[in-house]
Amino acid sequence: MKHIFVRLDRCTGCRECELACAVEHSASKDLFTAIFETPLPRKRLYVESADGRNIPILCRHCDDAPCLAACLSGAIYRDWTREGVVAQRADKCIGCWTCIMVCPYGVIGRRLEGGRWVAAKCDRCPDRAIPACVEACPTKALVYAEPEEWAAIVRRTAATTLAGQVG
Amino acid sequence: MRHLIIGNGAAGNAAAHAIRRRDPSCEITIVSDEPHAAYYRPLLPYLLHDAPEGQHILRDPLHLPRDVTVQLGARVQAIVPAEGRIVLDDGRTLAYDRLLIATGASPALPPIDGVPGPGSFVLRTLDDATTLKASLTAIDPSSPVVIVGGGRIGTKVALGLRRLGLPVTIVEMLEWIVPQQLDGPAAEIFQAALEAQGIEMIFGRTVRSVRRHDGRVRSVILDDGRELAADLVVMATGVRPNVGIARTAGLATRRGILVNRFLQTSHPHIYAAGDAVETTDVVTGEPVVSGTWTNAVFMGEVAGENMAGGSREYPGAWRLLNAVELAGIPVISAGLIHPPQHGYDVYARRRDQVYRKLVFRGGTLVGVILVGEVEGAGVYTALIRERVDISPWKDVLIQRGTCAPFVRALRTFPEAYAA
Amino acid sequence: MERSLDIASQAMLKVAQHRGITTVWDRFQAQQPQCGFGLMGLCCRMCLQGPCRIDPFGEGPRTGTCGASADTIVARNLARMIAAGTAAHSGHAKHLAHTMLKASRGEAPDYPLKDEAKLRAVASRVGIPVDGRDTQALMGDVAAAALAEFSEKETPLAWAATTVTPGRVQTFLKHGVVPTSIDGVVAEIMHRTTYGTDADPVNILLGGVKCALADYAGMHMATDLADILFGVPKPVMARANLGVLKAEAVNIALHGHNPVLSDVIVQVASEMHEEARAAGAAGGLNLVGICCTGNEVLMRHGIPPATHSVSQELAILTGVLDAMVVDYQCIMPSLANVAECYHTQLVTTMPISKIPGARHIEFREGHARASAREIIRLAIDAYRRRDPAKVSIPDHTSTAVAGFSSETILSALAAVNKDDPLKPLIDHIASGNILGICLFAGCNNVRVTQDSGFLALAKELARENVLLLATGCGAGAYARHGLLTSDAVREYAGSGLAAVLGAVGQAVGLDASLPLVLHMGSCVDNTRAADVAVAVANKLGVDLDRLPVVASAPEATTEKAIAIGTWAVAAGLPVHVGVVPPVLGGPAVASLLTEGVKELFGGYFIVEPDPVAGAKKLLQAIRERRTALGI
Repeated sequence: MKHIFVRLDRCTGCRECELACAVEHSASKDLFTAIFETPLPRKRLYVESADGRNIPILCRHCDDAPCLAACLSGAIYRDWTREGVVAQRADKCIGCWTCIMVCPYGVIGRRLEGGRWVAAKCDRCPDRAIPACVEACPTKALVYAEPEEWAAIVRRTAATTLAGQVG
Repeated sequence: MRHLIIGNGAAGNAAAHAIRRRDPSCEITIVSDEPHAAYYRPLLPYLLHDAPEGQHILRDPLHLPRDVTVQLGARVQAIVPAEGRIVLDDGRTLAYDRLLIATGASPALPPIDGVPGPGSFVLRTLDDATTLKASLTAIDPSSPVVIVGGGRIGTKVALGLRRLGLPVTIVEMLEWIVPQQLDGPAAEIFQAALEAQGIEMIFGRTVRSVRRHDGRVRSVILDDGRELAADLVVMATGVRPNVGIARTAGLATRRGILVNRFLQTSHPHIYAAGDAVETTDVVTGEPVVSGTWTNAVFMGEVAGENMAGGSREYPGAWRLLNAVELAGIPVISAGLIHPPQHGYDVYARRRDQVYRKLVFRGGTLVGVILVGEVEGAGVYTALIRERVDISPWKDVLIQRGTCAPFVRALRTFPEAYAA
Repeated sequence: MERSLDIASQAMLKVAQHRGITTVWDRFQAQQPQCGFGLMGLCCRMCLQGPCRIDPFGEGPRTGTCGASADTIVARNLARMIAAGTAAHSGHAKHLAHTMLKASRGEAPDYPLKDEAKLRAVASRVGIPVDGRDTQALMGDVAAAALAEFSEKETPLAWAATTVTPGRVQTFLKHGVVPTSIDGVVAEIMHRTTYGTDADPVNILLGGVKCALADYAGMHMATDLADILFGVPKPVMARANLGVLKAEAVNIALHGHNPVLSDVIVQVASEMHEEARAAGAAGGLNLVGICCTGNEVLMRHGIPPATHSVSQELAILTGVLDAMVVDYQCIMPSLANVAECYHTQLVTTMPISKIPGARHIEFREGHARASAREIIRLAIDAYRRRDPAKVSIPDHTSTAVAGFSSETILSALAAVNKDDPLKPLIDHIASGNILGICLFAGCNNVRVTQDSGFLALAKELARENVLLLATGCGAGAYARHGLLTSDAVREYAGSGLAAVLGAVGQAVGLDASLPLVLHMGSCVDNTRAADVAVAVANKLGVDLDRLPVVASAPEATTEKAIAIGTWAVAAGLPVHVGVVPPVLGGPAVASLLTEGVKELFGGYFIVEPDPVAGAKKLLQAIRERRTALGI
């Protein structure tokens, strides 16, 4: 399964990913129109900072997803038609916020849908080949890749850094 | 290998999944004393007023893993550990190699004169909900209802009945609403919201008796002698673990069934999970019987894995780990929210309907209440559970639940990042 | 999305693709997606505690570090854009004023007085005694008066106060937006928008309006002084588009804005054809225009415009452009990179506008012709290095009739009615033969398929008998697409409009109709159109905010366009913008610009990216005003 990985040294903290996420989850999917929608669309990822670093925090679609285990109405499920994305059926969400309580990354929020508050979580952009946040990142800090590809990128970067230090 | 699971609730179902994941070919049988297929118990209060949240209460029939036999309406009369079998009340016996007791809990009724009895209801099962709903439709819409117990269930039922237009009074023994989960300032927010919906609340009192006339409930008498008119009484005074068959079988029990860290009972082939089990609180290490869906799922997963040959340790339950929305206000509480006076730092701020309380012991977070704005709560619960030293980040955490400083400390996250 | 509707541009884009040359469209693509905070105007970089940005979806911070709200930030950013636009237009004017001052002192002999009538008219309008004055002294006085407009003083800007209706003056006084110094108000915007100063969005926007009125004054001055030094434009006919480049000639493109440079090059070039021929170019020198410099030399010398705005790089791709000579504004730095792939010599000329990779030849007004000669020789040199293998001139030009200054229009109307020139125009408006007037201004914008906004709007409005005026790259778009012709009248104009344009054409002795769109000059010349509207308003005794006159910048790009749009709104016009400006992040600002401002000045912005819908809204605005006038 492809995941969204983060090259921390590249995140400038511009929050474009957050905007793109909100726009992708709007009715119009257009920034200029989305800001006038009711309810306002909600983002599902968060750019935080710590230790002088900008850290985009995204849903990991965990193998042992606590939100999925904790969901007490069956709204959160694993969608095997999409490589095991941890997805959500908004109509089954009862707004009990148990998922928010157990997600250790704090990446589940609340949003209004059909007049009811339901959990807002990353759905990995079902309408897109590449998630909106990844596509929006101006510095390519977000990488949408298979874990193996990502490992190769990390290895290459480490090798280059090392070579630079030696040379 | 034959796996037998007593109980078709959260723990039993989670265990079935965990077993099947580890062992694709074993036999798995679930027996349930309820006649219904599996359902989401926490959604029961929504059925009373036909809320949209109750529409999907039945679990998807395909939610179970393949090749699981489910025997509904089958009450277990006895467990015979020495012979590896159980006896059902219709006389049948079922043999097992590994047994899971996930019998859950039943309403705990305090000693009240006239309870149980006609016109007095509980809400624990789908049948309870059906019975209560039938009675609600039979009574006059102005009939007063008294709800005994102002916990989450009592409050949710009260809100549901108000939606139906019924005059509702909650009688709570302790000093404020949902006392297990809220402190005084948090409760104020909810009490104001409940009052705004026309719900009466009486605190610090218990019900002594339920009075009937012509076989119908007429009123309740409080311990101070006050009489409240009531056509219907709902008992929402908590639950007690169903330990009967375990105890009779000679398994070690205290308040709940006792288990080791692999969720094994005192008999090595018998495991237990869910609301029937007594375990230790992750925060304080004290004995605890957790009654939450979340905990039941987790225990069921661990027990199931271990029944199928695993050796996963269960870290303990939470005395308090609860999320709920009442009267449109979300609240999440976890850990130690009423700390002893010494040795703890408490941060608490209220702004209108938003309240945050964080309890620290030295460099670790041990308790949290979030009302109104609950986003990021999972970061707090993870920090509590993992006992992460948060001292350099205390000021940040007071403002918001961010995992940014802790991504490496929490779960298996670092591989997502490269610097 | 198609990149351009211009056939020549399309052909050159194929060449770019074939040769792997990056153009503005590729770079825009590479910029996608663009910063949403920037698009909303919600990024504040005005202090070192920033940058701060406001989450338009309400989840993140609602104020910047200092407490500035979304509306404050958006208003400040907008005001600074207006100030930048004002600085550019008025810098252009100031350059002309300095040149004229030098000319009056005999220090710039290459700039003799060209139009004495205009000199006298401008002088008397701004209150300089004219009678019996020697023209050289008068030039000095007008230049000094012009330069005084930039300095601190206590009286309103003469170039604004004397050129608008008395009603407008009252409105501007009432709202405290009368500028007294052009540079002063630009500086004031920088002051009031700096850290910890003006935080009231309405007050900031009124400051922006005041600045925009200084922009108006600066633009009017630029047009006036250019006309004095280089002549009031009269109708000329030329070919337009990249097909005007010639394989057998030394081709020099004049790009930028100010005729101070380009007009002299045109003059000198006429004397240097032999040098070009000697270098092997049988066709001698062939000068072409790009952007508004192109408009200046088209109007006054019939120099053919090659292309405009977003397609400027494409001129180099023809392989026959030997030099591109630029001054300032709208010159993409990428020209140097594109020129590197060819023999083309990019020449910068202004001390404030240099481009890495270009050859800089500083243009000195005192030795203008010498500078021009040096530049032309560079082009001839470059011609020798031309690579025939890279030559690819698109075989496409259109006819264009340009040069409709307000003086030209009024004299044309005088041919219909000598005693009362404005009467025919007013009568036709009243009768509905002319439904209203629309001024098209502004640039191309890479966000919009090149020219698509201009063309769609013009066709929609012409069909409904709206008289169309155009300036700048908008006028350029119409030139390249053949809309500056009488043929276009037959094709697109409603019957009323066609009859009027035909009748005036006959009256002035053309055997054809006036063109569908009247080319009124470069982008700095928008006040030419304003002059006509003011004349009509004064004649009728009805202020501008009630006339059925509108404006549109369907493909606006620059800060200058924002400044123009703002003064047009202050002048009382409904102004359509086809590109969403960075203001939507401030809900109060956005609503003030599109609605609230109507109460203050009568004009307002119409933001509508769909040109057909934009045309509908403009027509509705025109009809509302006609109804209010009872016509």
